[in-house]
Amino acid sequence: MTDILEVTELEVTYQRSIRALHGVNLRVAKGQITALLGANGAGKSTTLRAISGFIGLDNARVTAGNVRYLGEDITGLQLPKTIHKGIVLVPERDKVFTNLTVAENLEVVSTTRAEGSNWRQIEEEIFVYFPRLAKLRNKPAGLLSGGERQMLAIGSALVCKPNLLLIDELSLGLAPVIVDEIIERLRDIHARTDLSILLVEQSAAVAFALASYGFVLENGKVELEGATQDLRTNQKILELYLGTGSAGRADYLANARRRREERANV
Amino acid sequence: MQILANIVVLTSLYALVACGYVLVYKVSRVLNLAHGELMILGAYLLVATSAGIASDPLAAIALTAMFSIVVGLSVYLLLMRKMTGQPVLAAVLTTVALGILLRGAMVLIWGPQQLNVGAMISFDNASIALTDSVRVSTAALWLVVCTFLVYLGLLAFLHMSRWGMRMRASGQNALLAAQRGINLHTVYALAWTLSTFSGSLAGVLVTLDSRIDVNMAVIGLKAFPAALVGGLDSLPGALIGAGVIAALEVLLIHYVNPLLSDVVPFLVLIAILIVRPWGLYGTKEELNRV
Amino acid sequence: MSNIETGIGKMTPATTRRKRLSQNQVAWIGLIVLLVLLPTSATPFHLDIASQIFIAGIGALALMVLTGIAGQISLGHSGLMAAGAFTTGILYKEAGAGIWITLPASVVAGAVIGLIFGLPSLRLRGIYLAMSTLALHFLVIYLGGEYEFASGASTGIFLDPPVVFGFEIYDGYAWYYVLLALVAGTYWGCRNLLNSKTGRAWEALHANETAAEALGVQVANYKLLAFVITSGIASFSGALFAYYQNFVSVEAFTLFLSIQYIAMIIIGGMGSLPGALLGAVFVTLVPYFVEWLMEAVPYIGLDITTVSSASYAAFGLLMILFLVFEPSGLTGIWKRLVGQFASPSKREDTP
Ligand SMILES: Nc1ncnc2c1ncn2[C@@H]1O[C@H](COP(=O)(O)OP(=O)(O)OP(=O)(O)O)[C@@H](O)[C@H]1O
Ligand SMILES: [Mg+2]
Repeated sequence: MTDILEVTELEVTYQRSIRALHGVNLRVAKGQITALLGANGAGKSTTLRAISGFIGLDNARVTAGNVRYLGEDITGLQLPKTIHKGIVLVPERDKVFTNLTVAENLEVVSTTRAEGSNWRQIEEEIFVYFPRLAKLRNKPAGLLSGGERQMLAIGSALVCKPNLLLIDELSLGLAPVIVDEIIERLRDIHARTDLSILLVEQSAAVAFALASYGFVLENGKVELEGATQDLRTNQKILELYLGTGSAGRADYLANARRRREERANV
Repeated sequence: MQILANIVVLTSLYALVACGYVLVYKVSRVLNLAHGELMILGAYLLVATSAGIASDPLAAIALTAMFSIVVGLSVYLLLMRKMTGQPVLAAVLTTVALGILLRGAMVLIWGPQQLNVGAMISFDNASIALTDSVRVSTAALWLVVCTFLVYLGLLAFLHMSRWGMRMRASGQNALLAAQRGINLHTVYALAWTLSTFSGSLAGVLVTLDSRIDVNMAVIGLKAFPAALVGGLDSLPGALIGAGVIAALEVLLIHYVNPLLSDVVPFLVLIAILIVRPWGLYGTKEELNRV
Repeated sequence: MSNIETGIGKMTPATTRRKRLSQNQVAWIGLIVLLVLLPTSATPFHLDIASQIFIAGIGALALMVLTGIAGQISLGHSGLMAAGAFTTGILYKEAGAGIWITLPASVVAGAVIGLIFGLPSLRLRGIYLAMSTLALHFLVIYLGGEYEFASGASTGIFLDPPVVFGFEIYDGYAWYYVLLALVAGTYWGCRNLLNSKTGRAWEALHANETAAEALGVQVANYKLLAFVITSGIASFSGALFAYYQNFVSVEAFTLFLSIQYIAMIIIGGMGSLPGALLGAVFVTLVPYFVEWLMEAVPYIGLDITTVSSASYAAFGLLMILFLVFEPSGLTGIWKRLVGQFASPSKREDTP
């Protein structure tokens, strides 16, 4: 199977002095969903941002290593060029334009491929994936709930017609029902297209539910990788991310769900 | 009644100038302190075109409009573009520098004396009687009409066209805009162009109504509080702000003390900063209260 | 956890640092000796320029602390100087007050105005100080104009030379030494201020307000403090200006004056106190240079407006060039030159 994305020994430095990644290696197989797990501050968001391109405003730079996309070296390529190549990010925070309506959020998107297409039709396509959004089309995105925002964010990313979708924290702060719905939708989208997805998660349960392969990031380095069914039973994962130790393997899903709810309630 | 007409005319002037501040601030958070000078530059461009290229008033004005677009585009591409990614402080200081450069250059080129633009393009600034007791000049009437059209056009553009939406989107979240494929440089260039165009229009019309000289750039500074009253990032707000300031100014000059005219807008500015710093319509969260 | 490397690459061996410090001290002592001896071979014209530079230097130091260190833009510098000048002028004219009353009163007036105009804007982030100082400028100028008008002094207020311990400060030499001492004192005061807890807080909030807040810096209070202190100094320099000119009038305090001070700190080099002084020298000399240049070039009518507008344009152009190509100003150029002439071993430790 070919890889759509190959990251080797990637190093990223913020503000010329704060190094966030220390040589990250990972791959995303074409047409597959790959998960990237890790604790807070491990460097997951930084990895995704480095792949999808920085802009001049961030003061962040790729200082070593490289990123290959469809065999082409795109290390350090800036936004919005990466978008036109088909790499699209759903960011962790601030993922929709709050002062624009739902429909406008979909329409502002600009890619070489989408320009000049029929907007109604593109919107309708998105509304097929996320029927909830159709009813909200004239509502300002700032008034949406967290789950609706996540759907809109994924939707507007899809308008860019990505080959590789990068999703930062799919389930963060969302209620379990909504997470289940979004997981369903993503599976559906993935089944209908040949989209490859790199999914960042803190919840191993969500990651395992979607992905076929996973990487575990720790302190800016990949510590562990493997097919999800192997990771699922990996002792280290259980200890690190599910907090159950050797005994409680059976109820890790319930555990993860409880923690998610706690987080959502904060 | 004549006072009311004066207020409407002054409101139009301030509003037309203020929308230039709003456009640039809205998308890039940069306060353009050269706006007054750019406005007067527009008027001097009319002097240049009428003297050198076109003698017909309409042709001269149309050409000036085109030149002002070129000016706005160049200001962004040659200067402000270099300031993207720099702290806002540096960008604002750059506009201060640009203002003083333009001011010096305009006097060097066109001289310090007042020029009568209207006479140069043989524009007849006749006084028009609206009712028995209310009269306004032709240029003032044009000013009111143009301001109305510019605001209508801008609002339609921002809300109905995709580039307008992109301007609003970039102003709200530049990073996300880039992540959605929007070229920020195009958006900023568009904002500077529209801002300079509307400013130049104001400059042309106000100088047609009186004379032209560099010190009229102070109108730019006086219109700035109008933009702030509205919250700096809202067009309808700027319109209302312009109305408030124009009304106060006209009334105070008429009933209290003519010398107050230069101070009134700034008194309003201080009052707004104390009472409601995000303006009447501005976005509150964006202020980041410390 | 990420690896924070700050400082590691910049460390200098202790020996070089000590040596450099002593070199620095030698340079400073040399400069002071030079400045003290300078008047022996100067014409009154030179002394006048030097005194203008010293007054500008005091104001530039204040603006450097506010903008270059604490990161706040002010367009009210000229207004604050006007406040100082008018406080002095009015106290002298109405009450015959001497220098020991007028100068402290000017400082207090400036600080109070700073407090009034700083309060509403400094609670807010970003460029709001620029807006309220714009109001400050027009308000002070309006009030000054009203006073001139009301007191029938439509040509301004005349001041007699100040008397200090029985000496009348009148001739160029006296002014030179007095102003030299004052600018040195201001420099020393600002330097100490920056090395204090307050100065470090300012630098922290300039770098990043949110981070500074997280580190426990009371951002609003420190911003206000910076504006109040620097307003006092600016007003003080305005009072000195009034005494030096023997004359107070609103005509002298245009918005362009504020922009000249901004030019000083940009050209001198943001964030550096010696830069403020360098900028003051440079900006004070530009109009003379422009005039000289225009005399040298034939066919240009040499009247006062042409010279002043050519200076305007020159300031604008210089500011833009520095902002775009050399944001660290003359100080940056100076450091680079020194770095190039220094021995290669020293060059290594600048990454
Ligand atoms: N703009 C920035 N400037 C400086 N340091 C940053 C910046 N953004 C992130 N970092 C640092 O880089 C490291 C990695 O951050 P990153 O956001 O990639 O982590 P993460 O794995 O996404 O964490 P989380 O799960 O909390 O989202 C952290 O130590 C963080 O402090
Ligand atoms: Mg993250």
